[in-house]
Amino acid sequence: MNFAYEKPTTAQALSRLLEQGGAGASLLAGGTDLLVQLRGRLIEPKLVIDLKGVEELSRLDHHDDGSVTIGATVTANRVIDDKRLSGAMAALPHACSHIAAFAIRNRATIAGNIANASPCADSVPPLCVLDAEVELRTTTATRRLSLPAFIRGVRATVRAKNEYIAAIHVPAQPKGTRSFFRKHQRVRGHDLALANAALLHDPERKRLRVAIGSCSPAPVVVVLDDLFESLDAQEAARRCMAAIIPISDVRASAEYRTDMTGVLVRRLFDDLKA
Amino acid sequence: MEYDIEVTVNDVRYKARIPASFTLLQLLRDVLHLTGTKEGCGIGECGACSVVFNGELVNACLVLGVEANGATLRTIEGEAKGEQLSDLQRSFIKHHAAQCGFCTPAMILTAGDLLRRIPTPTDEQIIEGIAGNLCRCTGYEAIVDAIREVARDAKGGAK
Repeated sequence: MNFAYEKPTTAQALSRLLEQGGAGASLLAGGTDLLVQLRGRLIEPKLVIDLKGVEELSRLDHHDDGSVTIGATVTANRVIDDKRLSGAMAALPHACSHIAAFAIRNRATIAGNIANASPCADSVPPLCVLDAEVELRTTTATRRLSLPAFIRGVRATVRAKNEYIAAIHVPAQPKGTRSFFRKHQRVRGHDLALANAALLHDPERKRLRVAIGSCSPAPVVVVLDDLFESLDAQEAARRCMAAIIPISDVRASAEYRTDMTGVLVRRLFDDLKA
Repeated sequence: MEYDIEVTVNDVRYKARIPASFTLLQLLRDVLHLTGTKEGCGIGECGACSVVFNGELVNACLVLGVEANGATLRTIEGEAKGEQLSDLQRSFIKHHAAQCGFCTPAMILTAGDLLRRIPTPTDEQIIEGIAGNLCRCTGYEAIVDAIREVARDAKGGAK
C-alpha cells in the first residue's frame, strides 16, 4: 500500500486537494473506520487527506438561537463531555457514549460515524429525530441535507467524490423538547447495536417521532404526532416494527431485531413518562 | 510516499522516516523498537495497542504514524521510573492481574488514564473504563481488584 498524506490547514486547500485527488482520495478524520478499511484493503487510496489541520472543522459551537454546529473533526468524547448538550439534545451525547469504547471515542468523529453510513451507527437515530443536517462542501458550493437524504443505504451516501462533510447542524429545539436514546447489544460496552432507537418529544409543536437504526439499510424515521396526546407505546411499537426491514446476520435474526425494536420503543416511552 | 516525522515518546525525542501507510503501532514497534505496545487484532477491537497520545488514550493501530508528527506519547516503557515500578504495576503483580501478559501493558495504561479522569471510580466505572481492553486469561476480576486497590490507596493518602 502506497499513498500520499496531506494535512491542509485551510478549507480552501482541503477542497483543492480533494478536487485534484478525485476518486483516489480518502478523507481522514478520526481514522477509526478508515484505518480498518485500509488494513483490509477495502479501499486503496492514492491520497489520504487529514481534516484535523483545518481549525474551523474542529469547532463545536452553540449558537445564540439554540442551534448547534458540530464540526467534521469533533469527536464522540467531546460531544459526551459537552454539558450544554442536555435536555432537548440529550439523546445525542447518550448515543455517543455507546459508540465503541473510550479510547476509540477519543478519536472517532460524529461526521465520520455518519459518512461511514453503517446502519448501526449510534449517532444517527438521535440526529434524525433532531432534524440535523449534514453540510457538504466543494471548492465552489455548499449544500445541506437531512440525514435520511444523505444516507442512501448500507455504507452508501450521496456525497460526491469532490465533497467533504464540513459540519453537522442541529437546529434549535422548542422549549420543553426532550430526546432519548436506547440501544440493544449482545454485551454491555464495545459492541455494535442489534437495534438502536431515539425518540423526540416536542410539546410546543406537538411533535413525537422515533428513529430506528440497525434494522434497515438506511435509518427509518417514524412520525407519531397523532399519538402525541395518548402516548400509546404499544401502538408506537407496532408501527415502528412495521416500518423496519431488518436482515438476519451473525449478530441477530430479523425476527429478533423486530421484537427488540418493539421493546426499545416501549422503553423509550417509559423514559419519556418517567 | 515516505515522510519525516518527529515524536516524543516517554520524554525521548525521536526522528523517523516512515511510509504514510504505517500505523502508529508500526512506528512504535517496528521503527522505534518499543515493543511493549502489543498488536492483537489490529482493527480496534482488543485494545492491546492502547497508548497515551497527547494526553488521550488511543488505539495505536487506528492512528497513522504520520498523524503522530509532533505528538507526545506515553507507552508502557515509560510506566516505571527506572527500577521503581508504578503503583499500578505493583498492584497488578500483587493481585495476579497478569497471566499471559499480552493485554497487560495496554491494561495498565488504560487504568492509569481512567484514574487520572476518575480518581475514585466505582467498580462499574472501572469495568466500563477497561471495556475496550480484552483479556482472555484472567476473567478480569483480578484486574478490577488491582485497579480498585490503587484508587483506594490514593484516596487514603500515600502509603
